[in-house]
Amino acid sequence: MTKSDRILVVSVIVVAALSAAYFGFVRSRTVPVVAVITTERGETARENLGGEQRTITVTGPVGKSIVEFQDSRVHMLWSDCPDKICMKMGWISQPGQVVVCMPNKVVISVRENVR
Amino acid sequence: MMESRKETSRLVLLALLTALAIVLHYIETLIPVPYVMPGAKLGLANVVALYVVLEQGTTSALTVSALRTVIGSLLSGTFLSVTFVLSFSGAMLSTAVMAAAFYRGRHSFSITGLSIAGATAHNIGQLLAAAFIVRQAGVFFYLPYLLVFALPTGFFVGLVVTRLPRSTKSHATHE
Repeated sequence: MTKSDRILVVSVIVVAALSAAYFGFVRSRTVPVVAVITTERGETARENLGGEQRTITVTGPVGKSIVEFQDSRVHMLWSDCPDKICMKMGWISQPGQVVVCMPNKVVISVRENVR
Repeated sequence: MMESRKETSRLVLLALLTALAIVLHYIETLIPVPYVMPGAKLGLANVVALYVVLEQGTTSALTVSALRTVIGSLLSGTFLSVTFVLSFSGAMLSTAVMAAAFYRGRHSFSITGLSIAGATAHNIGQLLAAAFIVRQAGVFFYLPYLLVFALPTGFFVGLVVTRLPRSTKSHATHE
């Protein structure tokens, strides 16, 4: 390891820690949170977390994306995309967290409700 | 006469390295990722990208990386899809950063250091492309995870490249 190598590794760790701390800070504040679903056409739905179990279906370039809300969490229940990475991303509930479906261009992001 | 022979053997070498990169790119798609982290990969094809940077220069390396992602996506049927755009952006930024660190860095980085720089650049390139495609900066939520993941994978790729036979004309630092 040369000196530059060590500087590189340390700065990568610092950037990772700072960005993790940023997202940690965002989620530590207690305000009402909403899940915002965006598609190619922009913001398609904005729903409070919590309440009854329910689903919202949106469409994108490859087909349907079904978003499920349950127990103050939200996840991608079904997606017509080939890789299903978005479905495997699991449940999210904290501001800053996102579930992204790249093929279908659908993003579920949990945010503080400021509007 | 000698010049054209040299040029021909260089072309053949680059073609072989491109073919090797495509095979590694394809093998990589067959390896399941242990847990779901979009864009987290071993980066096997980066072995070839870094080797070409060291041995043949920036232009050749960028050409090999572009051909690898285009032909690789044709093989897996993802050409011009979102997957292709992500892998193309990542590969080009990664190769450019490794070349810049090697040729502008005055050999201050070891081969492993170059590889780690390339691995992190690959993830940042992918995230930038992803953020652009879905028009959401929120995808940078995955930045810390991807950066931490890039350290061991970049280190591994660097180790592999360090052990590759090198021509005598290049003066890259080892260790």
